[in-house]
Amino acid sequence: MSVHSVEDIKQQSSRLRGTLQQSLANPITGGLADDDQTLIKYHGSYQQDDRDVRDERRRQKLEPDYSFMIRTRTPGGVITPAQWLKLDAIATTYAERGLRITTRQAFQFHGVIKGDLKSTM
Amino acid sequence: MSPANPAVSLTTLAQTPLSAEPYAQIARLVENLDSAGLWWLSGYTAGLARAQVSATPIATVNANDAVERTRLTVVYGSQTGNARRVAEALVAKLEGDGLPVRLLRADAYPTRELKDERFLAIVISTQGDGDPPDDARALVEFIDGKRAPQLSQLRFAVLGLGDSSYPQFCAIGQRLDARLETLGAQRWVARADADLDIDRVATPWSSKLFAEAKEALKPRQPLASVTPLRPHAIAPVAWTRERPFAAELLANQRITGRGSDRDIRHLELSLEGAGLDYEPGDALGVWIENPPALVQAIADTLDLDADTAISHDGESLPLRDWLGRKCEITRLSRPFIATHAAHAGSDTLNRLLAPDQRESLTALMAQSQIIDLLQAHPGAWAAEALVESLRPLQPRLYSIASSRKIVGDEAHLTVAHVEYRHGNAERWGAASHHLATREEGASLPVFIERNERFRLPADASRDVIMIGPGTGIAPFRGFVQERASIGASGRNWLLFGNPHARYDFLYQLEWQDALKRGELLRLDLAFSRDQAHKVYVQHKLREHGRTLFDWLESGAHLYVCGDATRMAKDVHAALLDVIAEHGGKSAEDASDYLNGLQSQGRYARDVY
Repeated sequence: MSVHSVEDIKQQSSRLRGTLQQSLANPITGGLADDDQTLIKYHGSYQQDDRDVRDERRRQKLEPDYSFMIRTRTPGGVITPAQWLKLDAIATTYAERGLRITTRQAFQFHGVIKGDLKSTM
Repeated sequence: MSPANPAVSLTTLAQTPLSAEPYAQIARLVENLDSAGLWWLSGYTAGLARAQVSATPIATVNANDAVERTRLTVVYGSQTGNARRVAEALVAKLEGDGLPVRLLRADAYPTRELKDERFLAIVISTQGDGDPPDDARALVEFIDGKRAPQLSQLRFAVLGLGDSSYPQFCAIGQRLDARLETLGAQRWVARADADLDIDRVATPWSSKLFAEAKEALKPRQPLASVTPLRPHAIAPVAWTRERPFAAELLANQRITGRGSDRDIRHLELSLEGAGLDYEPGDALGVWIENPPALVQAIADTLDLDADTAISHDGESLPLRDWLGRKCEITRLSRPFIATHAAHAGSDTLNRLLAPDQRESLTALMAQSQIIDLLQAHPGAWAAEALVESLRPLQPRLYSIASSRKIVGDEAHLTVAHVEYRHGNAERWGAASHHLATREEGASLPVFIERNERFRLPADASRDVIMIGPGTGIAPFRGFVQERASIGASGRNWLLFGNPHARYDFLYQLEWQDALKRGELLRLDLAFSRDQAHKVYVQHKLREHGRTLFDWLESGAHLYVCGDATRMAKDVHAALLDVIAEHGGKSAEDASDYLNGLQSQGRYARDVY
């Protein structure tokens, strides 16, 4: 784990870029490098893994089942039917558990895997 | 050479170089010795003989010339080791009789000597689509080609090995046999084509050859009488194919994640106490049993009682055991289809057997199992006839996925559990199903099948490029373990592929660690279903063609393991393209370059 604080990471991140580009392109893992896991939160996303299969996957010699949450803002809490359909289509294609609306008037997509992050966004 | 034989009884007086008195003394001496004493004595006397030899030069050196000319050369071309085993047994028998014989792997045969060869025996297998084994490509090309000399001085014998599940059964043996005759050589022993139950055909062929060789090669004046110290097969407690070691299954772990449509297993077997040594690249032979449900289904389909005792090959067992442990009951062969066509009186099947229906027959054999044929084309079978017509069950060979330097007295395997539905019925690959359903603690009869053609470079500073999609990854786990443990300075580059990164990245955590520790320099991945267009390892080879060619130019060794029908061919084609493009070579020169690598042992394949 990194020894420096979140503020240090942000300071050294060349304006929140960090090594996100390399992390996203790295095919060896479905996750991000440690510092990039902090930085991606400032881009409306975070990395998680399915705890239910953590042990099972370790025995399978597989890394944790990493996936990402992506959050979108809806200015004024209003979207058009066409926008809704589009968001729903994205959720169907890339996300697990459908399209989720939060109490803060945001839409969240869960379970997007790293390779699909870019297409989803 | 049956292990039941006592070591060797004293030869008769006429065969020994001894006069009556010392012979009688020796007979008295050995009478009361047990086998340990006899072994010791043989070593003791061999040592005495050796001391004399080094003191006195051999008087009959010039007799060698005569021997040279009348020597028998035994050449084998072997992919999985069967042809090698048959050739070795034959040579051991000939040597045991003191006959001048030499044994050569096909790629070690100096083709320029062919025109002077007097006696040649070839034992050669045929791969999938009628290809020679890798080690025999060059020799087959030479004999087939325009540069082959006239061979009127030659007497030859060919034994073909194959698998009658394939339409090109024993095609290479047949081709060589016909071609040698065309070149003017005289057929010494009639060609024989051995199916999976090799010995049924190989043993009579070997005996015939042995008898002929004894006749033709006996030195006019016996220069020396050679008695084998011991039968070839009895090495110090050797576990063999015929006498397998009971290995305990220590782990049976699925290594594809939830969501994968493949069930791939990592198996760990204990070899403790076996004294079974293996090298990375070797295979583990495993004797398996057929799924009991399938045995019952076959008996039910044919309306046979599985408990009826059947006598066959001098053994009486219930039909259930014949089908469960003795017979091959999944893979179809042409002869079985032909016999069943007669039993079923099926015009459809008979039509399929016509020469112009080869493709349909191949498709049938690839897509159906014996049970499917029996159900689709009902026909009556007597239990005896069924056991007679089925091929004997053969052990399965799996590339070992570990290095002893890391895992000690264990051998690890990577096995894809073959299971699918045929209509409403479940179907399995008999061997993988047996292994995948064994619980930890179960015992499996195993032996080591050497694969000298699939070895890490002796020079550890050489780079290695390993191409192993799917379960083809297995030997490379052993390679990387081995190279890490000996601190090999050469670079390791692995190319792997499978459908999905998320579920099918075999040994992902281990490769991540190996990369971190520098035990693996490069890992290129082709996950075919993770994007709209399919990406396979051959695409990765082309993508990194420049680097690949640079590695080859600096002496890298290239290894391919996995599927023979598609992958190995596509990879071969990609390698040729890369060599042509980045080496600035014509297609023909690229082919020569790759053949060159192969003959230097720098392009080795373990494909199935």
